[in-house]
Amino acid sequence: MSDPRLLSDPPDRQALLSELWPWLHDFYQQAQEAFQLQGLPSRRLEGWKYSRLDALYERRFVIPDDSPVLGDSPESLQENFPLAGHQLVFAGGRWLPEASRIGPLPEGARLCSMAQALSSERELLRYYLGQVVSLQEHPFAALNTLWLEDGLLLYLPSGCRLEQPIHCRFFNTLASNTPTGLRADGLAQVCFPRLLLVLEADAEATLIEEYLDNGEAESLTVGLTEIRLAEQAQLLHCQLQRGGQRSSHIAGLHVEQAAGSRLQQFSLTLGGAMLRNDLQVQLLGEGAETLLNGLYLLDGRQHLDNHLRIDHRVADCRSAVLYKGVLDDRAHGVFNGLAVVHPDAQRSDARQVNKNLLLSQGAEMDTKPELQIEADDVKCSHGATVGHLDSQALFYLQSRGLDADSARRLLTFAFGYETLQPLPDPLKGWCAMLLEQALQAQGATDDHA
Amino acid sequence: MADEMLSIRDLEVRVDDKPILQGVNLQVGAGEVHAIMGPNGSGKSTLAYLLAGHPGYQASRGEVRYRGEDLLSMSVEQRAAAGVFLAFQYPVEIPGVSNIQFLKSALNSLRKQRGEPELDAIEFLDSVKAKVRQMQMEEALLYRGVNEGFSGGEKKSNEVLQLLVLEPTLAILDETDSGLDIDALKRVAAGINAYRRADRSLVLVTHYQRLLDYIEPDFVHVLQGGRISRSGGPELARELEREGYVPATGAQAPFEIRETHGSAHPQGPPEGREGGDE
Repeated sequence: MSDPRLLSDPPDRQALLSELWPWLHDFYQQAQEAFQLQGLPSRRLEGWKYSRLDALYERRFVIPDDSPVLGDSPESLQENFPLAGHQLVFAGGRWLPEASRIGPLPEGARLCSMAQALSSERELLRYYLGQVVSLQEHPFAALNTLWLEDGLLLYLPSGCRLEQPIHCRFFNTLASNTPTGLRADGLAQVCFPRLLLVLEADAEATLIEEYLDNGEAESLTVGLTEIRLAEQAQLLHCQLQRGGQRSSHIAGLHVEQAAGSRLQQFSLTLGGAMLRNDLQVQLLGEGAETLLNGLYLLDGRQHLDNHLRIDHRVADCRSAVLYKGVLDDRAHGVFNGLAVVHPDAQRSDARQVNKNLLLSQGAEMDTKPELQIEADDVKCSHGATVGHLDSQALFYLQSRGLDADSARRLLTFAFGYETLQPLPDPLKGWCAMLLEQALQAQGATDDHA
Repeated sequence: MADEMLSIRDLEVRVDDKPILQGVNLQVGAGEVHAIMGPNGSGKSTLAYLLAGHPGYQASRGEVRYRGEDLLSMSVEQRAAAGVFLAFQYPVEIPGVSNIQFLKSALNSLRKQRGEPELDAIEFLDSVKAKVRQMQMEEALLYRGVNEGFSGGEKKSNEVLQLLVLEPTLAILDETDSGLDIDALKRVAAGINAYRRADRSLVLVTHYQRLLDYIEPDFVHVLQGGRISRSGGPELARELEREGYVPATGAQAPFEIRETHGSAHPQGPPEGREGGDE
């Protein structure tokens, strides 16, 4: 690698590749070139000007040698899965089969770890891996590819409908760290989970990516998810960020949608230190629909950068974005949403809304919803607000007996709940509970109450 | 004589340094219904907000005692827990908080502050539903956001539903009759009458007499120019309806509600004050 930052003492990837996956050699070369050209992004780049990456670049990270064991982890990490379905647990980027449960699958469907797929599903990977993401434009996607090792493959053939949701839980670090949050050797842990979801025509699935961490450990996750939806395919995808106060997450979610397909995506950010989400959707077939909702609850000195780009390439597609944020203390949020309506994309319907609540003087939000329209017959709108809790509503609740904190919490919950509304139960109920818990925790640490 | 519920003495309230209430005196006994009438901008809503503890309204002079306690030193939620309730003239819409969740949070907060256990969820729901029927409201309104997209009548009915569920001791109803058609007015009045009890008091703030056709007040006061200019029995409301708020010529003897603390202002109120509360 050209950039010595981030990783110290890299293992000999080239040897690993030529030994285990020689068929990936070209793919790897491309990633290497893409990364060498770009390097790690600096704040001088428009798309990265708010992201606080400098602190990350000063760290030395390491990929753990062996997989941790869930049984040794603190009890707080051994939370039960809230939904019945396929459950996959990962730690340090690697699949933990003993902690996972994959139920019976319909004929032709594949659901396995990326490491397994690298040895047993070569044809699928050769055909689909790296096809949705542009490594030349996304340096962290190139980096993820350079360190490709494990993650998840979901492949559903035409007409295959998975009844039960797939819930993936990614722990970065499990073990307790030293008081500095670093490992005994002074390094922090990094992992590069890679997910590939391919839904052929009329296939249907629900997948949850949940990122958790040991609360105190310094860590970095550079994740990449590629999603390909064929004609009429439907996917409900959730990304839940529940990292600790020293865990950072750079997530890429890249989607291609064929005609009549439907993506419903929900991004819930409740924890983490430096968070960056790049969500890119290409609407390539007529009548494709993408609904992107997001909710973030930031406090302390958390930083979250949400970058969305939706390309309407053909006619009659619809995109709707609703992102809402609650920022307290000295948290900093960024929303940068761009909908591009290309010349042939007549009758496009593109909507974007970003609303934010600032709960303290020190919190900051930079929001920039953008439209770039090159067709003439379109319905497009965008809007952003940054405001405070409605004092009349607070008074109303208090006059009915709620104390100030409970009233604030209830109003904040109500503000955020709108983004959960389209989710099906019991997923919605679970997300609502996580939101409620996060608000309780935020209230408990408030000093301005 | 009824036990004392509310005692307001020489109350002055300024908003943006403009005097809105200028020496209000009022005594309300347990079980009594008092109507406070007056023209727009006379300070009726200011009085209602002040009693409920709205942070925008502070007394610059005078005192308010509620069941012997200093009401003005209590926080908004303490007043609620002590049994003070304000039905809002403009009930606030809170999308995302369902009406039933709101009622439950409110009731449990009140019970918690009073050191009482939380209510059983099923008993609570049954009792709320019974009161919804009593108010002739749609049960579906329980599951909508608080007042979200409610019609004017539904919002006012919802205030009275809260009154019936939370069972306060002193209810101040701020223009609960405004914007209601005659059927809605009857339903709302029936709810308010169902709330009445010998140990509960009502202060009805209203611009018109018509609510008083359905809820017979024990006392009627005219708030004008920041003071209570006249007080009387139910007949005063009918007189105001006939003759308007123009004060009768000559000094009217104030109606003594209590032996000594009647509201007296022999010169009549100054005219043309901007209240700024409506």
